[in-house]
Amino acid sequence: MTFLGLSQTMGWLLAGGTATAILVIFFLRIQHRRVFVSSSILWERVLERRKRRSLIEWLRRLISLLIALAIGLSLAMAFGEVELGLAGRKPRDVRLVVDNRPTMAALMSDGRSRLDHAMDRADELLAGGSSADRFTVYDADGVVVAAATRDRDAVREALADLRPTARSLKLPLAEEGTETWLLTDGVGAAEVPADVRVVGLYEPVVNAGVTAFEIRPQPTDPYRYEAFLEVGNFSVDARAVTITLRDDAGVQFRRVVELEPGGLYRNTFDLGRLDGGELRAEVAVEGDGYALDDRAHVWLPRTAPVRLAYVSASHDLTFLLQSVPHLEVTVMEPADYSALEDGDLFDAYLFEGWAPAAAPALPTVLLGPPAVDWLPRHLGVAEHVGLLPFDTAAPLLRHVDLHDIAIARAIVVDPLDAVILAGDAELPLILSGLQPTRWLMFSFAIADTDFEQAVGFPILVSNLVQWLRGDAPARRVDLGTVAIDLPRARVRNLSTDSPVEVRTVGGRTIFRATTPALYMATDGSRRLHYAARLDGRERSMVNASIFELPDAQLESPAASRPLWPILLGVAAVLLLVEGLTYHRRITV
Amino acid sequence: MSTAANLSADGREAGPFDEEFLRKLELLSVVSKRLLAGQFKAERRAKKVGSGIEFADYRGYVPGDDFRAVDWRAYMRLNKLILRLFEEETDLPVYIFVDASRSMGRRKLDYAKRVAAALAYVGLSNLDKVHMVVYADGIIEELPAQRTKSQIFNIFRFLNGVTPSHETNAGRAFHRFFGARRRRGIAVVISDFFDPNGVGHAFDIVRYQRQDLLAVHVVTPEDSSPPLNGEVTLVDTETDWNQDITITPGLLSAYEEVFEEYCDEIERYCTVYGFGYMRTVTDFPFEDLIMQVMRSGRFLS
Repeated sequence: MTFLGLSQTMGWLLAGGTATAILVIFFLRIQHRRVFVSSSILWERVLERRKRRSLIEWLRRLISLLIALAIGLSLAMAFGEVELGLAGRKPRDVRLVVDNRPTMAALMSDGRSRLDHAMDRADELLAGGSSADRFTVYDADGVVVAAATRDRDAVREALADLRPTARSLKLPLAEEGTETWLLTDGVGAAEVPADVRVVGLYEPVVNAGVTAFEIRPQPTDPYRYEAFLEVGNFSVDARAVTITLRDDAGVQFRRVVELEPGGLYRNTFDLGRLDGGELRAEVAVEGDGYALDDRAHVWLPRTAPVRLAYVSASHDLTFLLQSVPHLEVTVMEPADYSALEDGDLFDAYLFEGWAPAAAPALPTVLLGPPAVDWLPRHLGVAEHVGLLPFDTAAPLLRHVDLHDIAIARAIVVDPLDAVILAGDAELPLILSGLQPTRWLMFSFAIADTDFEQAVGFPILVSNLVQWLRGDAPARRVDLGTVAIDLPRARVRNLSTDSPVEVRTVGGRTIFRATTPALYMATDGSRRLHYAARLDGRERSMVNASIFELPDAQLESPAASRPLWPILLGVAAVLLLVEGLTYHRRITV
Repeated sequence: MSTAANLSADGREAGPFDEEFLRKLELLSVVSKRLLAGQFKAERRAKKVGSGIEFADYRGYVPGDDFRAVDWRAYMRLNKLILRLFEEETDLPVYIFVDASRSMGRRKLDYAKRVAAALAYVGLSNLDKVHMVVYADGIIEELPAQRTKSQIFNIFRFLNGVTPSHETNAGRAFHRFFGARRRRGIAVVISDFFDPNGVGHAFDIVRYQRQDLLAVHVVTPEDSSPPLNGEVTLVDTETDWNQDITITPGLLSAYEEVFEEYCDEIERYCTVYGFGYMRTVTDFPFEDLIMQVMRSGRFLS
């Protein structure tokens, strides 16, 4: 063995000598002499007094006191939610305006939307403020989504419910003592007031979108439709855009066009060969970061002829009806009606001077019907009816002039819940209802009028066929809240084939269209279509941001973190220290 | 003195009651008689008028009075029944408590025995009933009332066998002693008063029994000023308490300060309740202490 260069013997000697020296020193330590005293009473008093008076004891007590104080203060401040940098500051009244217009749905480089980033920044603002600060959250339309509150969780819940559906960007009016933060991508924003702090959430994004997609009847044939499509490239560079038109049967049109930045592609398509139903226009571009304008929907009315059962004793309208295009008329006597067992043979009924005792299941038109239980109650008969008001906006009366119509005799009915299209509440002449079936009633017989000689009569018949078909092009609505003129409608998203949550407000059904889609609302035998998509070209201009300004003009939320987790941690550590030092008699 | 010689001749250990002690005792007896014959004599005479031998006064006879007390000569002379009244002398119970706990040690206990014996001798000389009680954490031994001077040897024998033992609990001892019905008298407690349960608590029991109290505080010079230095382990003679400690001059002076405070506390208690208190060091001649006691007038009333 070699040990520090010593020989083995020397090494062992060194080790032995060291051990001996330590043992000797250990046993030579001061031994206490035992002294018997009469009583420990006085000595205990002396030691206690000395303990109180000695410097070390004083220090021990001081340390103990300081640790106890630190623990207590830490806990008190933790439970009091003390925050850094808030001393002497008054509670703020903060107004958060979160831009939730559709362009906020554009994706940023990390794959998350601008709105997601806005939520993050809003959360930073919430976390950064004092617990005494009050927050009010507005959406871009200026609607308060979270009233002034100190409850951060309530604010966060309100923020989580925000969807990119706002139509404009409105800032709340400036108020003394308030602090307004705007979290926006700056797209299409007007000048922001100087007292508003802006948190910018903008990055350029690739986007090509459908800016217009409409159908309309062709001038030559009102039952044949054509579609107009407009597609734009809103990226900052030229892009190859794939345009697809498809219906339930499959792709009807596809083309790839090269579009310059801001370039538009427009085309009109003849839809005469299509059977009707949902029609979708789609665009695709590589790296597209804005999905809301990538699709648009329309509803193409069915083009199959309407099968009408004409039930009449007089058959006055037979010739007229048989001459109407897209209408297949079956003429029958009232007696034959009772033999019908199902509605598969027809699409609608026309009763002239007669009505069945029970309401039929199909849409029904009644001309001067007798009194039956399911129709408005008869009150009497009016003769020589003069000029009465009529609803020119009603689809049935569109382009029809009733001013010159002379009615020799009409029945007077109690309209109750029916919608009066012509006449008034005292004398309704044309009225419609949805219960128990969809019905349209003329309170007079055509033979009792000079209606057949009027120029608007063929138009009325044409409108009537449309009404019987119960199918019309979808109404275009913007993303967001949609109100339907049906009180108890059920709404379905046809694009995803899923039901949509609705609520009824003031006799109207309301639902939220958060993504571009085709929605169908049904109420009894009535059916309406709504094509929800972005409204207007400017809604696709996701790169038209004011934040091409220097970044210095943008603010970030102040980072003021609550201290309570740290204080609790400090208190826990101090408790451990206190326990350790106490048991080691370092503290008292 | 023959009594002392006999005591030694019996071959028993003389202990504190040696020839010199007995000589001093006799001297004390003479001195005490002289004192009783002087200014303090009147203080001890009971005011009660009864069946003594010393004439006190006359008063008219009332039915029920003892005919033996009628002064027939006065009746012959005055033709009235006159009663002769005599002053009745009452004996004073003296309860002497000697602390024999371990804290007393041999020195303090011997000194206490001498003081106790001397006071008993003086008491017996004055025809008082003397009860002797040895206590520690209770009553260890009790000598019934002694009445005559010749019974002093019973007291010597009783005290001679006392050795230090047990812890101190004077309160328990007093409670037990006065739990039996006792006449009002004077309780003389001879102790170092190192009582973990508190001296005041023990004195309270005496006070509640309406006894007079004379506290004789016996200390050694080591009690008041311990001759200690350096690293020591202090061990309590009565309990298991021990403490490693470094004795410094500062600590010693702190001890002396505490000791004085402790003695003052006891004295203050006695002063407040009208009790007698005397502190003595074992170096101090016990006969001088007895003289101080007698001069205080509390013991020889």
